[in-house]
Amino acid sequence: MLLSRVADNIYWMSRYIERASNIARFLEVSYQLNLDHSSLDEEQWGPLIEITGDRTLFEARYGAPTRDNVMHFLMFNPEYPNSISRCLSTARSIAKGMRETVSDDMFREINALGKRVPEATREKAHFHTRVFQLCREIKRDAMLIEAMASETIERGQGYHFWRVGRYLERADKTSRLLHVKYFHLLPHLDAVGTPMDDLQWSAVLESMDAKETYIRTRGLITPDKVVDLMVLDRGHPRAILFCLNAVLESLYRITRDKSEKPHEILEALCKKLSAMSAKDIVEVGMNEFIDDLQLSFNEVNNAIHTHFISPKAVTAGA
Amino acid sequence: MNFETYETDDFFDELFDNQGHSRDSAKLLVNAIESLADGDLLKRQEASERAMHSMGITFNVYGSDEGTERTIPFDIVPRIIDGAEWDVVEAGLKQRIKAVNRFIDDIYHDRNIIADGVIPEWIFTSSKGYLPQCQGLNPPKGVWAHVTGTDLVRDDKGTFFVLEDNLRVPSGVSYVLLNRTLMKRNFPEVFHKSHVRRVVDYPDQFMKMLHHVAPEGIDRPTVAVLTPGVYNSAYFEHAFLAQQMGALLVEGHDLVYDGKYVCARTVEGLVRIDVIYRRIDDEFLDPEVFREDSYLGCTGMMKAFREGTLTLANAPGTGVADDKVVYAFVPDMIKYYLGEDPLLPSVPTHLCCDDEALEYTLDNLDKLVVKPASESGGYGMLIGPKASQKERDAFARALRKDPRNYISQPTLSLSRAPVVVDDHFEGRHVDLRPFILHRGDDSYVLPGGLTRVALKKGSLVVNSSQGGGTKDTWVVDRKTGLEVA
Repeated sequence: MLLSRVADNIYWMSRYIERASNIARFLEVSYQLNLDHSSLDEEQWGPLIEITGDRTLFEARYGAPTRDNVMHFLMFNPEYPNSISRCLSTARSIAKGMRETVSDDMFREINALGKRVPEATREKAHFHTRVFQLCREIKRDAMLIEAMASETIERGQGYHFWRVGRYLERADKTSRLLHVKYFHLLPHLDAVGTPMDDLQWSAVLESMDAKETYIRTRGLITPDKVVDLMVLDRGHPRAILFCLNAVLESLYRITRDKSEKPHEILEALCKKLSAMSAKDIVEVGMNEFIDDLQLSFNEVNNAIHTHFISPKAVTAGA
Repeated sequence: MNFETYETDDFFDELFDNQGHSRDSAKLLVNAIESLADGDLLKRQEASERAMHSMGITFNVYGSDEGTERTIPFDIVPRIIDGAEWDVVEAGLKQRIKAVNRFIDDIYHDRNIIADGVIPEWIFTSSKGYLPQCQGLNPPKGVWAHVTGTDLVRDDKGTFFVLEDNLRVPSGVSYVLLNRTLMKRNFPEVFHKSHVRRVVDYPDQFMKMLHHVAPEGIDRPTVAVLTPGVYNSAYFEHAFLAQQMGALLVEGHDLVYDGKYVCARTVEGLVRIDVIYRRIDDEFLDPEVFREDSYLGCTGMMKAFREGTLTLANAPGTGVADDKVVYAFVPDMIKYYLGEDPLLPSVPTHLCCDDEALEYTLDNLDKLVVKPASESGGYGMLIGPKASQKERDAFARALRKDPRNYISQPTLSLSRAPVVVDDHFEGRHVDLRPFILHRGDDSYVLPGGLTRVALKKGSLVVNSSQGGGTKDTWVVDRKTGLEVA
């Protein structure tokens, strides 16, 4: 038996941890990538802000997207709800509010992870080194928590809400990453196919831990093959279709009723993607394709909320 | 670290006799501590505190910045109680809780104890804990106070006295269980040899008791722990108990009354709840019956309770016996209901509503402890010998204004136990809160209980809200304990 409030908490705790670890991945890869640039002027940090979808917020507070500004915004900013620091401390306070549901091991990790970024600010390490190290630690700890969830929680409704949150968040972030690569990273169209272009695609794959898979299964880098892996692959755990299938599978474990709204939306979306090829996507237009995807993700999120968390059937005195 | 310089002064010490020799039941422990390498004990103490932080056993400090989290100070030297001595205490507690439950039931029914002239009528009509809404109700198995945390103290001769009965929502049991976990980790060998009575099955005993008092005809009752929420200072305990018992942890807004049952909102819709162990006070339970502005409970809960579709533990109205004036009559209740002599003495108590007692109290304010009748948590009391003349004068005025609300007792010379202070041991005053689970026909008493320590030198106030700490409490069976030494 799972309380609606607890289901909601598990879902968001999972999303926040996944969000933080995705931002950490992006930060880390950007840092690596930019090391290959010869001058600061060439460095590109603005696109990272695009991934968050919070450019206006950033500009109001920081102005120019310099390396330090972007690092601070994404890693440390205590007021920005999607900074790594805030995501993790939010996950931590959610965990504190339902520790009867989280296993002890998991709680301890989430508790420690929630304090990691503020604690790091007291260390004397060089700013960039620190951000870089934090990214690696957060990535690793998020995986550790995931392993604990999978090893210590029974496969009940709670576990599946955890899984729904994580994979929905991941699908969303992968789509944003793709979007940013297409529209913000290469300023000039004639740069497509240049060594810089290849380098960036390669970085994108790396931030998804997909570089090796790509080379092994698809060979030389071409944009449509990257899209094929990132969007349509059923076997890579960060590919959008893989994530959506995982969400759907968990929804069916939460309730078998196929006529449920969240199930319906997702089922249709998975079917649509399964029938597509990378070429279809590129031809439809990446922009439109991703906009549509994001709308669907929101729809799923809202349907989950209306259906499980605040269902209309639950009224006093019924 | 050793006890060479340790002074018991003129107090009864829990580990040492007045000659400075360790008591028989404490010998193993004292030897073990003294044989540790320099600094080792401190290291273990620090490790325990770190463990508490990582387990998130912290409470939020009211009125301080967000993120201020503290652990309740934990002292690593356990307090030891001899098994044979404990057996008497245990029997006394069972007897007491049985009589108190009979009393509450009597008050909400025929009031024979008043008709027979044993207890004056005004003591319940003026009690804050009396709920007219509960008149005539019959909670399952006749149990009103399911969980009690009775506070005991020892005087300078080592005699245990009952200080007060906490019958509403006593807290602290999670610390008993966690302190034990920490001690097992820190002193596994001594612990093993000492034959300490186990506390680990408390959640199991608790759940069995709650099943036993479930509404009639329910085979596998659904049990929930009702908490005010994460900002409550005892939230950790609520979550811990729910987790350990396998109960749902619910907040008021998770519950809804469907016209017959109290239900929880789950992802599958409404699910009936049969038993609620509630950790909120009576007045917050049901806005329709008590405080209208309460968001902590659920409208309809009292209806369900009255109609018997829901068991509430402890039952509403139990507070009528959790009153320091009523306390004075418990020995009479034991005689009246059980026909037995009390096994555990109470502290002699003067009821200030009585003119003579009021005059006596006013004349001896510098020697007495004066307490408001229905406060808990150590708030609003006067410890005469420690107070200033100004504080005593202010209290005298309050006393005259509302004598019914006060009682006075002699200042007991509370027993002490050694605690770690920097690099040595010092004696500090302690009390003891055992936990009793009552199921009607029988009770379970947690062996030992929570030992609270007044960490401030010379202080007599042990409440965690006022700077107290805790210790693990070992009830040691000596016969077997000594062989190994």
